Amino acid sequence: MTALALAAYCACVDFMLHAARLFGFTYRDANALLFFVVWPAVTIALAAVVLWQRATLKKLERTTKAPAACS
Amino acid sequence: MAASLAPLLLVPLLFLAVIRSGAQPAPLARRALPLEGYEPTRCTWYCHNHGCPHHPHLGAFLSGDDGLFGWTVDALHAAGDVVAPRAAGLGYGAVNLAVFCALWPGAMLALWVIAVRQRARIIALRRSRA
Repeated sequence: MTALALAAYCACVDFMLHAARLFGFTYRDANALLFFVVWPAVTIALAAVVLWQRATLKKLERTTKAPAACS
Repeated sequence: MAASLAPLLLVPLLFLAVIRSGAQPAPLARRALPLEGYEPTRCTWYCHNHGCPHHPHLGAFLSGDDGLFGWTVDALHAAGDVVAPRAAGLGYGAVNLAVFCALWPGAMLALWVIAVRQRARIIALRRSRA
């Protein structure tokens, strides 16, 4: 388990180092950009999609059930 | 359905493509933290092991020692000391993995699954009304 965790941790650091090299950033910049800008933005966007779709579903279910309730 | 699975395949593929890129591709499974020397033109494992001495491009608010980066590293070290008080560095790594490889991606995956199921339900409802 420890060996697997170590390999996963090292792969993640390697990813950040290579990403920094690819984009001409420093390791610190790559970390800051991914963890404080890109990933939070994607998370917020995904949460917004879920909330928006939930509202759409409620509206659709209400309008779908309405005629049956009247008859 | 295939489009909804695409991100689940693309993320690991992108991860692999990045770590295997460049003149010195990283091995897939390391057995120890590498000990690399400082290089003035690019970041190496030295920047991870000793703190990155290169001048950051982003503002100090994001990547400075007194900014979000420094605050987060300190918080991860503090949490790591709680998790494994007698093994310096082990707790830090474990907390890093827990937060950034398990909890946060897990929450993203859960959100993704909810979004895909909602989308399927919306399409089914619209078809039933048409």
